[in-house]
Amino acid sequence: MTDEVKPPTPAAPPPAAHAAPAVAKPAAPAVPPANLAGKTTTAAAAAGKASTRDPDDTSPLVTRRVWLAMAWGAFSAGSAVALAATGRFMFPNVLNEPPQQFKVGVPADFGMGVDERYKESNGVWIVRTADDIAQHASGFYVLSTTCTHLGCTPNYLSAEGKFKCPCHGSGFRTTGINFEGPAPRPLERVRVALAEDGQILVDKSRKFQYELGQWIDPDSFLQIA
Amino acid sequence: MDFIKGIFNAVADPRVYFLLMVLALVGLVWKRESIASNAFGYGALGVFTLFFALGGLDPNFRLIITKPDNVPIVGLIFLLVFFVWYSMKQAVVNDRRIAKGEGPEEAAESDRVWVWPDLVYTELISLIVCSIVLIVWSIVLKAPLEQPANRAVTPNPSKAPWYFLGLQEMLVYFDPWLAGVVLPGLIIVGLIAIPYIDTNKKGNGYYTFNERKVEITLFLFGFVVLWCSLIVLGTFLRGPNWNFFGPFEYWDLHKLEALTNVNLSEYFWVRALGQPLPTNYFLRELPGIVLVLLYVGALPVLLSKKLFKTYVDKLGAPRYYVTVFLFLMMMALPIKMLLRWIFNLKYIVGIPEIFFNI
Amino acid sequence: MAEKKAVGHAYNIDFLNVVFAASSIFLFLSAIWMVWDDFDREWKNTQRQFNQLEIEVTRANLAQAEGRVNKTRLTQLQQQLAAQQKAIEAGRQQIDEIQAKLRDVDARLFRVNQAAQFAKAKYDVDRYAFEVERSEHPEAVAERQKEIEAQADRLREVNLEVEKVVGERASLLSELGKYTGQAVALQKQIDQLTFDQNRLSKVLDTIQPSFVKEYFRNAPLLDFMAPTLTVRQIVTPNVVDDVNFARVAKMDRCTTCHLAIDRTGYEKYPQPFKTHPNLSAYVGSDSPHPIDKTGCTSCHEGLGGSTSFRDASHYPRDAKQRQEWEEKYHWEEPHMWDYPMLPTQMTEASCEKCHRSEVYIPNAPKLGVAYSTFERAGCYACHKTKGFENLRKPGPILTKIGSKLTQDWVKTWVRNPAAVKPVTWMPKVWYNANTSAPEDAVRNEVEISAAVAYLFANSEPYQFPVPTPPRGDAKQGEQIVRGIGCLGCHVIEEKDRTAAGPRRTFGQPLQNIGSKTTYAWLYNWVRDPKHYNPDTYMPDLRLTDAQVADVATYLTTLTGPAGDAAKATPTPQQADAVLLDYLRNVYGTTDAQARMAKLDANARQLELGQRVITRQGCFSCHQIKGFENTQPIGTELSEEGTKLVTRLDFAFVHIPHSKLAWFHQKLKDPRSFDEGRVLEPLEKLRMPDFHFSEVEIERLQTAIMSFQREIQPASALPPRTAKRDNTVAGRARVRRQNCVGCHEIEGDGGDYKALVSDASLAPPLLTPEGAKVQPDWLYAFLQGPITIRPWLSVRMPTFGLDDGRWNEIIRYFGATGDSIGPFRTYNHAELTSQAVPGKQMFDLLQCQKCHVLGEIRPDQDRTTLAPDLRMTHERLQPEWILRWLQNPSRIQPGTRMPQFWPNYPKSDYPQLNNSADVQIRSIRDHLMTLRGGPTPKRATDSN
Repeated sequence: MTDEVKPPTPAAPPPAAHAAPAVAKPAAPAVPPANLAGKTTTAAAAAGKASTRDPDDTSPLVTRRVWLAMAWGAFSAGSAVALAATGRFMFPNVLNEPPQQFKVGVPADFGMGVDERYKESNGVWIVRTADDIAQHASGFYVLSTTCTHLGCTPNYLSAEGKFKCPCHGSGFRTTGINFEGPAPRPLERVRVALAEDGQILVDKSRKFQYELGQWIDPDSFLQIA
Repeated sequence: MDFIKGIFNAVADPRVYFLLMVLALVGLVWKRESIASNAFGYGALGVFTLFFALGGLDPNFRLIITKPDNVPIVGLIFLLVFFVWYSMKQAVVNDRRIAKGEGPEEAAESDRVWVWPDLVYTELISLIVCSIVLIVWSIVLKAPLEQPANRAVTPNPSKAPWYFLGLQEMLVYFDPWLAGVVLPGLIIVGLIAIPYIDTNKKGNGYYTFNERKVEITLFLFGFVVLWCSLIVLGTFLRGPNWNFFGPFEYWDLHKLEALTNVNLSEYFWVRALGQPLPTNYFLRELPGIVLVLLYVGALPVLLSKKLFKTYVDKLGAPRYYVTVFLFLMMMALPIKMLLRWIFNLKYIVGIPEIFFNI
Repeated sequence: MAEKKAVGHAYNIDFLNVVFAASSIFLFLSAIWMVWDDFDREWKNTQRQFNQLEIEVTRANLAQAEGRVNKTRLTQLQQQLAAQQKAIEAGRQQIDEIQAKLRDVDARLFRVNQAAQFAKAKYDVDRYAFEVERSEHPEAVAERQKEIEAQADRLREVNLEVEKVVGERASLLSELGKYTGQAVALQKQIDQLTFDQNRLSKVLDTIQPSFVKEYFRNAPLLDFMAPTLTVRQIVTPNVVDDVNFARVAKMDRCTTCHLAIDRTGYEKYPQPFKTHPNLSAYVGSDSPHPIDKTGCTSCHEGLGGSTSFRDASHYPRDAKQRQEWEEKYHWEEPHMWDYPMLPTQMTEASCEKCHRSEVYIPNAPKLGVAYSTFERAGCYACHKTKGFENLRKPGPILTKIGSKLTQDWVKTWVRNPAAVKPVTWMPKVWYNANTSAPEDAVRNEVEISAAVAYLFANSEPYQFPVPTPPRGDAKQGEQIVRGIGCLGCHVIEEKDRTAAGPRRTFGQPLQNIGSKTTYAWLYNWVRDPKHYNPDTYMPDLRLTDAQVADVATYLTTLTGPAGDAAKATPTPQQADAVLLDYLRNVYGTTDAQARMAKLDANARQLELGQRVITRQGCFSCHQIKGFENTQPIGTELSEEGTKLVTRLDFAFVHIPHSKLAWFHQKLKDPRSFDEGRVLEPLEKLRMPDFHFSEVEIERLQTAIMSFQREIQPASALPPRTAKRDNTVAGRARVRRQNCVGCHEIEGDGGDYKALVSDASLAPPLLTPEGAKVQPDWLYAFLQGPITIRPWLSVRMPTFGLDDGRWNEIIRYFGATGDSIGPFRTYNHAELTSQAVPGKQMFDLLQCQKCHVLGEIRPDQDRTTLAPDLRMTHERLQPEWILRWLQNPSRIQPGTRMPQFWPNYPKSDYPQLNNSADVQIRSIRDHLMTLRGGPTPKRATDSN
């Protein structure tokens, strides 16, 4: 930057003011030049924090502190918003996977016991029972095929009436209760309801866990005679 | 209005356009003293802004400049003109100071470098402003999504990304081997060779023109006139079927232009000598081969004797020959373009049998 | 800024502070703008609007449900329930005791159950180990075996214990039930009564907007967790999109805005909230095309993955809607997707994607009439189209033209067919948009004369079977023509081809026939069409010679406009110039002239005629000698619907740049694309002008858009079965022979009904035919029809088809009637066992009043006649007779047969134990004994 008016060249430190090292250092002038009056740090500090202003007061209305506070505040806020937006970006609005809610057919299509029709495509077992252990009624509940140990998909062994996970040997009754192996808790049930057209609607976006006492929730069981 | 547009359309013809660019460079160098004023700078800014603003009222022009891909090129024009003007202005100022014996401006504060907070603070502000520009740009200019790509349907026109439009333009005049591999390779080789061939110790770290006249002129010619102006040409003035269209001309898909071209061998044997083309391709292309060899081999030597004698002395023979070779390669592009435009010349050496064409 | 910087800085820091603050604030604002721009989508507003609508509709339904509840019964039940509650309170102590015991039993049950499970597990393990060991070392296991058996015994004991405890529990429960059982039952009844109400109010609760929903679940940045405004998507693994380099499963997001498309109750609301029409055929979960299996774009096309109105490539259905959309939505021709949505009236064009080569599909009537128009106009004859190969040539034969017409008449006809017969399907080949200039007249006339000369020079000699037939009575003839059924295929006075339709113009229009050909030709044609043209579709009406004379005489009275006269009289030099033009394109000018010099004037005309016919493609529609194997001249249309718009040449015609606009223009005026161009005569477009109406053009556009590249995998297609194949083939056959012109079959056809005053006077409904008649009777009937319905004046002609076609039709009826097939035999003894009481019922119900058995008296009222029941045993299927007697109008709506058992299964007659079934059965048995009626079977047929 070229200057039309240069301040006095601070070539060497004023010898009187500093006693010691001969090292040349960029010196701050003891007195700010006239044309910078009121525009430097010291001037701002010297203006003081008077809440009422003198008519002769030439200090800036908005102090540097205020500017910087605004600046850093807005900068952090802007960065935070951008970061949050990036985070939001990690959760797509729509995924190319089978839908969470889907219809599986009318109740008459299902017999008593475990039905594996939707195990592979949608990851659920549809179970029809005459007397449920939690709801004490006949109807349908839907078990999630995710083993509660480490997430593998168990197999249904109809001869032995249990779900057996091949990964670490967890075993679950047809009710979903864990009784064998390292599984810490029973299989989760998912929401099931009767849709308007008479089909059974399975909604995997809501889960019900036995150990939290959630199997008594009416949404987790479809009562059909 | 149509009359003015017609003028622009005619002026934008590649031949005229290229000539204007060369003249503009000549003007920049010759009249740099008067260009170096702020008045000229603001004036140029005004002229360009007016051109784009008024031109934008024309629907055809508007279509070109508002295409999301082309918006940066409009910005490029402004920035390029600004930086060329600014650096020339600083160079003139420094040259004046040097002539007075004061030394360039940059030397005034050569004992310190302002970093904290000056550099760092301004970098922070630049970061913020850049982010704003990117965010706003991405909201306002949507990516131009089109139909799924279909290998049976080629978009018309098919344009390379802007940084390759210069090369795509070169492909009109040169064989792909040359235009796509040899010449771009030589550009890079040339850039690498600069430390070797540039022995001028002056002008290091400060703007100047007088101390580096040849170097700067050569660079401006190669970069602004050849590279950048061809990019602008490729963006604004090339339309469907890679036909030329004026900036205010409608991009008619069916426009036809007669682009019949003749090889040098045909000029030599058939037109000049009245004979049929020889069957042996080496014999047939002999005139062209001889010319090329003369250009690459004999011309440097010739130039070293007369025109470039000072350079031979300054650089020494090896450096001189490297430099002049690169220089001749660079000049080959405008020379070939001129030959094409004036004589409809297709290839100087055309041997499609072995895929070798110059 | 230079003069203000502080010493020790390159910039004025205070200024930089301000710049920093300003730019940071802008950064913040632009970040907010970025988040908002991403968050604010038009589909969210649409979903909010729908939410409002849904609440309104649900509230209305809820009010209705509440209204339907029987309030008195409800209060009754509630009172009873309250009483029961009190009773329960009274017995609280006992209930508590029982419940305490129940808890103990439950605990014991748990322990005992666990013991049983452990025992079973151990037993399973030991047993398996034992089995393995035994299979490897069979000798060493005697002891082990005893152990295993002992274990098994113990297991049985443990299980028995479990059963005992379960039994205890059950008995305790039933004791408890004595106190609480009633209350539970009453509550259940109340729930049943208020089921709908409860369900709807639960639904209402779920969809009510709330603070949490608006400001948390659907808030910007927070809406990743559980938004209520979401993109809805249907992924169809079987139905695919072709994106040029891959086939991907369709991902249709249309339901994001079309939220009620598969829900009943929204039929009256505007788009996008309207229910889809005809839910039981499309979109509904019980339809053959449930939305989660077919998606939306498989039928409607468009960019399914889009969630905005414009990008989805919605297409307006007409010019008016287009203007509306341009104003409201700034709509433009879609360029983002190669296959924009079909206008709604053309949606059925997509059926062909999966229903390949099906000429008629129920629930797709527009496509059916589109294909009928396509076939009748004969487009397939010039334009090769998949699914329409090997069909007959649509025009009459020209191989014997000399015996039928005169050269002058043919020239006038060819010059402008519509000027002679407005309803004709024959297009205009000359004097079109690119050949109507005054200077074209000479060439046109030269070409017309040459072509006609060629036809006549190559006409086979033909001898009439009756060279000089006698004349008849025109009035009688008219009665016959208008009554016997000719009008099913021929029109006489009608001028509007669109209104008549492709079926009633299946045969040549009779408008001008008197001025067209000779009496002798007409007489011989009507008498025996196949003598002139063995492949004709015109049937034999079994007229007597006198009737033939009457008909022919009537037809000769039908005269009409004379047509267009020649617009120029070319000289021989002009004719030669035209021939030279043709020849020099093949041989070069000098060679052509040499060849021409060798020919005399007549040979030159014939040479030109042959070349003209080759160029114009007349042979595609008409049989012409010398052109039996010539390839047709039109563009192949097999994939025209998938063609990209960039492949169509719009030339200088200013129409919207879309496929549909191009097809419209081409069909309206095929040669208009030559406008403004400089062309040699032989470079001009050749498609003739069919003078299509706007309605016909839309039908043909639908047909063309249905010709698509086949990309759907086999899993998306309807599964192939013999029944389906027979149905598809049959539907095509009855249309190509124009059976549906007279008869209604499967809800389509029966155009003849428009010509009679009452439906019962039209040819009969054939939809139930497969279940109704015995196939071998039908076969005999089709070969030689007899009178079945004596009151009809229309008669079934003798078509004389080959066995292949008859069997196609018979199999079709069998497939749609779900009857077993032609090889069934009937046990007549079984079927006639109740004949005797049946005769009593027969007499009681006075069947003979209408169903005359034998000669019909001349004074019998014809409007009450019914078929002769003596035909029953060989004609009707025995099970069908039962269904017919039970409820005739369900099978044949509009029939005059009364319903004798309106209170089925109760009977109004006391006979046979007052049982309708037995009575009906007995009548059937009696009918199966009747003999001696008219029969189509000849003595040689097996019975």
